[in-house]
Amino acid sequence: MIVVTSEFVSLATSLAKFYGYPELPMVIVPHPFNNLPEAEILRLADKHAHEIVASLVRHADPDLRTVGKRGPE
Amino acid sequence: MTEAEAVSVEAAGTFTVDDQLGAIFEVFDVAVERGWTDGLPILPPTRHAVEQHLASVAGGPEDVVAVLAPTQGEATLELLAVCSVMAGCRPEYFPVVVAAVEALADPTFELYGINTTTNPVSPMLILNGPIRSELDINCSYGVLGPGTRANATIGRAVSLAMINIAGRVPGVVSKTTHAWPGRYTLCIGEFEEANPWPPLHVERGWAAEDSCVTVMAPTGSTNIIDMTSHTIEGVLTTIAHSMTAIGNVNMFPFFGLGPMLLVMCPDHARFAAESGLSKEDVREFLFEATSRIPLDQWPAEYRETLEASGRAVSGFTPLAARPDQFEIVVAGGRGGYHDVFMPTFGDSWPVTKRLPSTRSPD
Repeated sequence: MIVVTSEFVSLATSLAKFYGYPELPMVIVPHPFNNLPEAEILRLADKHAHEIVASLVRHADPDLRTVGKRGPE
Repeated sequence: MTEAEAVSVEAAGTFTVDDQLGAIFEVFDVAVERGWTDGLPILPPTRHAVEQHLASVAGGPEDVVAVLAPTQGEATLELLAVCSVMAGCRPEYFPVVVAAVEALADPTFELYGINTTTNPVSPMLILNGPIRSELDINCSYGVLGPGTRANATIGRAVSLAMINIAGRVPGVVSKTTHAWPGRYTLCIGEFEEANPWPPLHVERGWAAEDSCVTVMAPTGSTNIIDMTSHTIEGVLTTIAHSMTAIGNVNMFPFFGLGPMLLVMCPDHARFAAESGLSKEDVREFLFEATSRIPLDQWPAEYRETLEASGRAVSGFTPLAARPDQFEIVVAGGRGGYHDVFMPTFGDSWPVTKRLPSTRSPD
């Protein structure tokens, strides 16, 4: 999956298609991003973290999803 | 063009026209509608014209010259010939177009970044060797501007390949904020006859009698005038201080360090040589003269990064890490005291190909 700002969605969509991943999950964050104060970036990270984790878990290999449940061996 | 001749571009199929002169306008309208052009008129890529171009190179029409980022578009000889015809090239220009596209696809050139970035970068072709006189390539007055068919159309053919094969469509794939006019066409010859030093292709390992194309990735051009200095040190100081504006891409602390291109006018190059300087000496001078940019010239937000990355030492930052990052070619008209500084896309390195195409035979 990828995290992309709203201004770059068209590019990300095109590149995902060119490289053979047309269904690549995408989490979109507001633009602009890189010149925000650190506190605002942390707020956005908190806001989107669950979405990123959910996307990663939802699309993960089924075997990988169970790794965390096995506990230490 | 003969009556009812077929016009073809692989992705869009074939269509026919039945009015010889009117067809030129019709084909241009269709080309604009289908996104084949840079906005300027094209010549119709008729079967006959495409075949004429293909006859000037070895290999078949389906042979893949390169795979172009970011679309992973396969640049076949036929598609490149279509771009070459549309751009207005003569058939004998086509081997240069093919070699240039091969060069662009070299991983060290970083075409993926060049075609997607917000920067205004575009490929630039620099020709060396006998091909310059064979094709009547301009190396002299107005070398970076309009006026010569070979320069204008060869550079444009490569640009059309970026649009039609690499997918460099503004706002969709290319996120370039402004681009710059160099994206229409950018092809020069080095003025070897007015160059007191070894030409670019010889510096890069080829023989003087070889014909070569070198690609670089400039983000614009800065005119440098110095008609006042009486010493070469004065001239080179003017050049050096014109290179260190902190907003130029080569100064950008997050991109790392890349090559920079200096197009030196014949008069300044001759002045340097007559003052006893080799090209290496000029590089060393520029390296030293750009090595102590006061840290306090940078905005506060940059300073911490520059210091943490080790790029700032004792309150100063350098433009380059090594003298060989200064690429120097001699071109332009005699009698002027102007040089051109072209900052590049940073981590995109020059690639040189020898003509005819250096592709391995199938």
